[in-house]
Amino acid sequence: MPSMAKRGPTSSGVCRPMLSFVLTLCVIQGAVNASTVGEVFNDGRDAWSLHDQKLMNRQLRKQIDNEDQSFRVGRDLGIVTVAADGGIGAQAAMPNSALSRFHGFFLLDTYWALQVLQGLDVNLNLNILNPSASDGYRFSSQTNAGVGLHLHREVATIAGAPLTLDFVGIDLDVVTLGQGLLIERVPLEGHAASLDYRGVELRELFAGRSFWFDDDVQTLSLSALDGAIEMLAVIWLTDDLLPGMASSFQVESDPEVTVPRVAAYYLGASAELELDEHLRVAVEYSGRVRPPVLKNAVMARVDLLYRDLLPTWRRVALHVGYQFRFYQRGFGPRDTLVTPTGLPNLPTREDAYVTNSIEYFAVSKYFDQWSHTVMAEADVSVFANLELFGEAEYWLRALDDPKPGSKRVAYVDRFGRAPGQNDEFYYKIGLRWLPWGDLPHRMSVFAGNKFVASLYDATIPDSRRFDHDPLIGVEAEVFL
Amino acid sequence: MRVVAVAAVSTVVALGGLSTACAVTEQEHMVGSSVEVRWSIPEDMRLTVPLRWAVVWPARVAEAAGAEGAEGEGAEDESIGFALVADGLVISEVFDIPLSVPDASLWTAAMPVESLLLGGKLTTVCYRPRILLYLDHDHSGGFAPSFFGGAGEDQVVAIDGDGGSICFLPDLESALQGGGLEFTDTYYAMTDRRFTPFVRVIAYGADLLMDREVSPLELRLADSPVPGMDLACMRAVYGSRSPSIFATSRVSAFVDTPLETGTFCGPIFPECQAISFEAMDIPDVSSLDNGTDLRVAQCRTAERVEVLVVQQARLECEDCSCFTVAHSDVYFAEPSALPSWWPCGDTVLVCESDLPLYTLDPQCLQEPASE
Repeated sequence: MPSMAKRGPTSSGVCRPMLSFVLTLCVIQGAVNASTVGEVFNDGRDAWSLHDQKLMNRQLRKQIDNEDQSFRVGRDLGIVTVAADGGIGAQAAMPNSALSRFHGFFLLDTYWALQVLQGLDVNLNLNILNPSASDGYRFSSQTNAGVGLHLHREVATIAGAPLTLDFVGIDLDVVTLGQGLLIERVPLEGHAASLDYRGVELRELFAGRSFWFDDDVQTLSLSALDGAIEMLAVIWLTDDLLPGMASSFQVESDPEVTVPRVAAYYLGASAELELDEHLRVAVEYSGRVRPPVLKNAVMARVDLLYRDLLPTWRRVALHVGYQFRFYQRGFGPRDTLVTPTGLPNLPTREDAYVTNSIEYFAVSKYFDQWSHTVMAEADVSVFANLELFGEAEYWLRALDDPKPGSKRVAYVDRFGRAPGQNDEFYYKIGLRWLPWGDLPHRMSVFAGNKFVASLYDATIPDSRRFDHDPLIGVEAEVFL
Repeated sequence: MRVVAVAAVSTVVALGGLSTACAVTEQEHMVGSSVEVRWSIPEDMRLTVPLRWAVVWPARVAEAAGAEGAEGEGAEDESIGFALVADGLVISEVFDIPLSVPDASLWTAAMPVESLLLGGKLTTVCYRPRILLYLDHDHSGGFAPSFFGGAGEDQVVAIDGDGGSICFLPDLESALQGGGLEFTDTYYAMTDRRFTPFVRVIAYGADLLMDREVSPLELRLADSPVPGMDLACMRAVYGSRSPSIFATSRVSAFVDTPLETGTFCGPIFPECQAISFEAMDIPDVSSLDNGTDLRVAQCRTAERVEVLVVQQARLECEDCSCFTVAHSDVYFAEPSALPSWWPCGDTVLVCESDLPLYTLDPQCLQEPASE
């Protein structure tokens, strides 16, 4: 019997009825930190994949209070909660390939939460990292801080049910709007506020910089059934730049020069249908409204996810998914060709798909865009404390200029000549060793062609999200 | 495409190699284009023979003698010629000139090789065909000039310049690829969304910048050697392109007999003579501007004298250099005994100015602002 359910299955839900010795398996099964995905306010993480899920910079205690997070050393410190995911990594190049920026790195992703009052938390996320040991001793070490003030209160009780208020700002951490047609898994700063009553939520969100140096995103959404259905209105503001002006404004922003703002208005709706605990279907539509013109975009995604596919044999986790996207020409938020950029460029981005709305907005002015993506991840325990893991993403894209008689040509990063069709295949496959079988700390060696791209500093906006050269990676991770 | 050249363009050297040929095959689907041209003519210039337009590619060509069985003999066999790719009769003030994608053998020999700024420090190779108007003196219906070794009589009277011209991008695909999306967006904004290798450009220092096609390409006729020289000299004409009324002048002074010569003559006027204005030949004070010759007259008044200044300038060109030769005649007359032909206040404007009496005041040369 199909049912509507709150987004994302949780591994803790699977584990709870099991015996304590099975908890060991639960710790290492599936993605790290995946258990509470979807339960954190304004959670932009993807519950329907086997990618690792970073912690969110709010409701930290809720995230690590679950039994499968019992290894966290900082969860019983009174009004303070501390957690950290740390990792080091190195790369080896294959013939004719180049190392990515993070080829000799450390990243300590630390989370600090102070419960000031009941319902008021101050959250601090410190990313301490050094992207490359090749730069010189600690030469490019850096620390990036994000502070999120989170207010969450029951403001009234109506007919026996609470009306709850959430407000968080300015660190929104990972944000996804709807099912990801407009913004998917993008770390943002701004604020979000919501009122929730019996699973019906009215949410307002403002993001100060999403895909471009000059954009602001304002959203208002109304959802029901714990987010399973949602209506979304978006105002996407950008500077009204003439062609060719973007780089000069970006590099030499002159406070004396004021550029008029221009808004793109979107109205849309999304739905997520969980057919059973392993299968879900999600759809989203959005229209850019510019009377009398309406530009449309739509996505659909199907996911089949097993965190323990063969419980009687050995642990096998499997996710297979498919997504379709269509963005009509002119749907994108700006009417000037300016390549979107993302930041921060951290290795945690590798726990997201290459298929992402940001990839469609560069040339939206000129082309209709279709894509089909097949995603798959798998974790298989081979021996005790040793597992084989892999992920793959096949992305087929087509760009077409629907304007009659138009012969416009453009070259798009990682796509090539448009109009046209292109496909890309990303993979990562390797072995993971967990020296302490009951703890998630691990070492991995793998081959892949999906590595986060970055300029010198992780906070410099970069139009490339990933480097695609095949590399050998070695990583060691601890979860504290 | 009809091809005319001093030496047959079929012998155009520097075919450019396979790489350039490959670049062009990528553009097979490219459309040609057209450029809208508007021409104007100075008041003092008269057309006595048919006015025609032409699109011409100056190019390196092999000498006919050297071309026969002398393949690869080197630069000694090359000279500058041109290929005529389009030609027609001018029948209206505004008209379209078609632009067709040239063969690789043509543009790889075209001169000069120029660079178009894509953005930042990125540039791409660009060639500017010459768009010109000429007087068909030999009534042949085809462009046959006297330069580039030719013996024709046709006179180039207008040609595109650095303020507005058309550039051909032989490898537009690479330019779009290398220039990024910002250049792509600029390119389509400038070409009115057409995927064409021809773009309007203006000169920016040693480089070229794309320019938006919002108005016709302006060509102003001039009865001057400059347009032809501009073509023959590959745009590298030094000095003036039109006569300047303010060029350094040789000044001759004429003092009417009622006046004392010594009052006016002096070191300023090495040539100064007393003469009866009534008896002398009446000076020509009519305005003249035909692109080569320029004449301006202006009157000034002082307490006991009226002054007529007639300045004439002529553009002279030689070996890709042009300069103005200017000469002023200054006439001093007694206000109470003006000669009968005295034009001041009649056909010549009297200018109130604090500048020296023997000079032209540019303020009085400007067109009066319209109300």
